[in-house]
Amino acid sequence: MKPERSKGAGLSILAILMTIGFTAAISMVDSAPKEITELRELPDGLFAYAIVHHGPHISVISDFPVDSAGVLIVDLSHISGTISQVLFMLAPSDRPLFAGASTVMISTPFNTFPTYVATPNDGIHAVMIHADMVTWDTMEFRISQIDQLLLLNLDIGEEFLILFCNPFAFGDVLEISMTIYDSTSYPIGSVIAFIVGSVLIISAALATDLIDIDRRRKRRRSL
Amino acid sequence: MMLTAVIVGTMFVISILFIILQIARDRRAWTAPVLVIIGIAISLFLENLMSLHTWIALGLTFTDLGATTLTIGILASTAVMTWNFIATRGRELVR
Repeated sequence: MKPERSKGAGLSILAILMTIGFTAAISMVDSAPKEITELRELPDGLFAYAIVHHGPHISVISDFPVDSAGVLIVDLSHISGTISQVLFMLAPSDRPLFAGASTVMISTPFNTFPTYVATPNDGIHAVMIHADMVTWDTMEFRISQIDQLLLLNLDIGEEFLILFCNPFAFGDVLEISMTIYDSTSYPIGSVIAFIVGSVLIISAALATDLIDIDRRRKRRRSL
Repeated sequence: MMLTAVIVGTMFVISILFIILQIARDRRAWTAPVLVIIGIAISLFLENLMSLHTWIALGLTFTDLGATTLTIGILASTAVMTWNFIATRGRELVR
């Protein structure tokens, strides 16, 4: 089998250029603005804000208007922690529930289990689990460890994130379900990924002779 | 899912690096393992820089159309290059 150097060189250069271009483009997308996806009022005057954003944690924390009464901010990082992080803010409306608690951040580099357990102060415990890494048995185990439970179920596309959190003032088990489709939060990256993916698919098809341009040209000439 | 994404992304980077083997005239026994190690390092670097593995994971879970297209493209390219590499007994990855 004799190698056809022209195609090979083309695909090689294309693949390298695509990788470099994709890297540069996505790194720029990190500075895209965040958006508040959903705001829902919970019982006991508690508000939960779900913010889907991408970019460094620090920009969000500094930009967000932190309640003077004290807030609990839990940063749920979707999958790896850079793209499409989900930030939950639990802010009591009528009482300084988390006075002095300031900011609690939980983030994860990878979705290992358990991802992170934080005990910042005053008995606030938070555990973040990616549901695809956990079985119901371990969930029950986790629940049994926590007497006062705030359970947040968060659907992000196919990913299912669960946050176990027991702020000390909550006597009852509170269950909230939210569905957030975060694909709209990184449109530029998505478009770039689509273009790069399309080029790679076409390149692969060319490499396997599924698309034979030369044959079509010859056929046209013969006609 | 993330582990799969890491494997796919790393395989893709290594495949691209292995094109060096095709182009290089002077091949030695240690070239391939070194390229694999460099490929893993670059893959991890790309994950930190642009979340390559995350995009692949998003594609594998069909969360986003762009990510899905990218993942299919990466899988197709890697498959073609791997197939060529095996079929030609290491002589070429792309034709």
